[in-house]
Amino acid sequence: MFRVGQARRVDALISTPPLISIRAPRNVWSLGLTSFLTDISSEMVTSSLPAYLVLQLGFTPLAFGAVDGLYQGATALTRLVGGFIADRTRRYKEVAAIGYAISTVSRLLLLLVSTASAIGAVIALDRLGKGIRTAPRDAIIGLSVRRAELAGAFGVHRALDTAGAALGPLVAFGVLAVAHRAFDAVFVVSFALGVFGLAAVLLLVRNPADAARVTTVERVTHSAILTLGHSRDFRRLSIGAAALSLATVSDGFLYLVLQRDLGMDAAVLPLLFAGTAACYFISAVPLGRAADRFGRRAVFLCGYIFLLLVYVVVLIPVTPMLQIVAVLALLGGYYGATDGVLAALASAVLPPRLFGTGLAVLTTGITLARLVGSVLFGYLWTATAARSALQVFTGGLVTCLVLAAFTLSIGRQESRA
Amino acid sequence: MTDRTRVWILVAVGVICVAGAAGYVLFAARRSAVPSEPAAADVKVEWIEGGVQTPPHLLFRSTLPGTSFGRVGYVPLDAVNGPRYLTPISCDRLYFRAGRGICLTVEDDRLFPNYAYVFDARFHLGRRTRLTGPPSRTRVSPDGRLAAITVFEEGHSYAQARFSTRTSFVDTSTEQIITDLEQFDVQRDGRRIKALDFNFWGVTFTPDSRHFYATLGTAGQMYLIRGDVDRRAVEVLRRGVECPSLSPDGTRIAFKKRTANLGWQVAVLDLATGHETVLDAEHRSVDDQVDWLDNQHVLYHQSSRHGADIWVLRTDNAEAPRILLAGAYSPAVVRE
Repeated sequence: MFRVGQARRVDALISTPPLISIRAPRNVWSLGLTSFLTDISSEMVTSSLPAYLVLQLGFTPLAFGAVDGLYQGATALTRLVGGFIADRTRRYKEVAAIGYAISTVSRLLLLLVSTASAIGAVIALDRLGKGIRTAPRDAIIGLSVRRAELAGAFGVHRALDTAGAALGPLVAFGVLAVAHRAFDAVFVVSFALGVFGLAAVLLLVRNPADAARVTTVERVTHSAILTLGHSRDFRRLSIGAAALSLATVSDGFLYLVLQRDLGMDAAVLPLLFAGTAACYFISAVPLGRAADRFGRRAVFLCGYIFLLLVYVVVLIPVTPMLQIVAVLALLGGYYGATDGVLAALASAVLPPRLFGTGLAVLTTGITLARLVGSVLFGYLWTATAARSALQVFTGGLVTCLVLAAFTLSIGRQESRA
Repeated sequence: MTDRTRVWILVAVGVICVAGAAGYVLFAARRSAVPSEPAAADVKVEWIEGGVQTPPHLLFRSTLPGTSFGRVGYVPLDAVNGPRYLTPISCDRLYFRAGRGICLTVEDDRLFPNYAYVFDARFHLGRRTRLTGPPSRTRVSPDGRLAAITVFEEGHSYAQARFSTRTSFVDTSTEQIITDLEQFDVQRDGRRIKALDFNFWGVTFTPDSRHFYATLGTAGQMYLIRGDVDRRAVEVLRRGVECPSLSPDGTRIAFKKRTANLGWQVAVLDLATGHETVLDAEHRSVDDQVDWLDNQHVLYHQSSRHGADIWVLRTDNAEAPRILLAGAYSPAVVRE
């Protein structure tokens, strides 16, 4: 349990910016490079897996889809475990590296398996790796950067991350264009890039300098995690973020509505994802810096206003080209203004020794809220129609925006440097 | 270890990884350009180019290495071990009836690689129609006027490797897609049902060419449905039936029945009595929409070292299956 003396020391840590280590910007760029390479690696596989299953293995992947759903819950658990262990051992880099290593190995395994259940297991392994590394990775960024630069740093990381995700399918396409139906080549390239990314983490990233300082304070134990719940700021942030996530309609659904309304070829869908990724890439750093300068809460809420505008643009019939461009730009801007900025907000509110666990708890809560939201949306779509479902969610998002504005504003000095 | 050393090590690792990856890709490119494969040398086939279709015969896609690879061929049913006729077209899946055929292809070197073509009795390809995903199943109605095509579409986020299927109907004279099963009304026990996760596949036409059977997958279950093309409506009949194929006399449906280990067995449903016979004389998993050779035999493919072979199985389950045609895939029996 928290003792008064220690509370004061932790307080001091919170209000004093962490050491400006020479590693600080380097950690951000290194993790950015790693994420860039790892995302190319994983999106290569994800985008070509359908064709591989159908053409090469010749089996019906619907069996695989059933297996896939089971692992969603497991991912949430691994995320919490990863964050907690990283906090407890202070070995953020090592825990993240383990996560990257597991995912990289799973690429190699893809070359060896050919049944539905085995492929499902390999995908699950990849997810496991991703779950383990996400919270420690973000914790490193949060611990390596001055508070005044948190959102900008996360913006840089997210930009590189998205760039990799957008390039993945293109690289896969390039490989398959050169080597006809050589899916093994796609997996080998993916594995090689995964190894490269893992090497970047191992060689360039340093465990945050002040992590050593924090070990002199109380060790992270199970009961210490309850202090997360006691932190009013963290609670309010979680509730606000979760509420907004509840009213979030996934990209896939939005594109689907757009596609049906405009009568577009379903083959165009991947291009829409790529377009949003490009806009996210462009906006991530500027919006992150703006958040540091003008207020992270403000930019965060702004991001959800962008999302609200997306709903409106999809609902209101204007010229198709304008609709598509507006949706892609606003959606990309929404990601740029919320994803990295949320991590920055959390880092500003959490005690440094609980960055990993805190970020993991926050992400899990948001994922759960999104899941509930998408089930609700799906239900509304089938019960009524796509447009009315979107109208309901527009109203819902407005409500949640107001709620979040309240919960996020009753906080202390976390939003400004 | 200094920072500089670390950076150089990383550069070295990066170069090795990229070079290794590039090398493998080039090796794979060379591999796919060279068609020879010694393992399939035991199947000796005499190919005759051209020729005219003389029913009853079997159309197929050849998986044998050499000039025939990927091309459509046919062989008379009374001389399956004799010479095979080679057509000028290449298809990944095909079907043919009453002078009209459907050819589904995957042309990997394009951004949108999946296409469908209608072809005639002389194997002239009609206009190209772009498909929204890799092709899976196709059938043509007995009068040749309507075709059904099932493709796999990626799920609604390319971050998930999730699937849905889309089954469309094509008018073979206009070569246009006229509708797809997602637009149909679905009834079950007299009530209309609807869900986001509906997937339709595996259409088989009835003799009147305006009705069909197919599969509806939803909430993890597969159902046999019967549909009316003109009314744009289907009705759920029975659970546990995948990829139905109607017998020539219209009395029985051969289908895939899911087994415990995520594989399938061929089973035959008698439409009048509702009785199912599992054809367990075939122990291996069969993942194909079977085609009927005649009222007593079904055809399907199995992977093999020749690529694939077409097997024939008796529907009374009295005999083990045997290979009808080695080095072939996507059988389409043409009776008249």
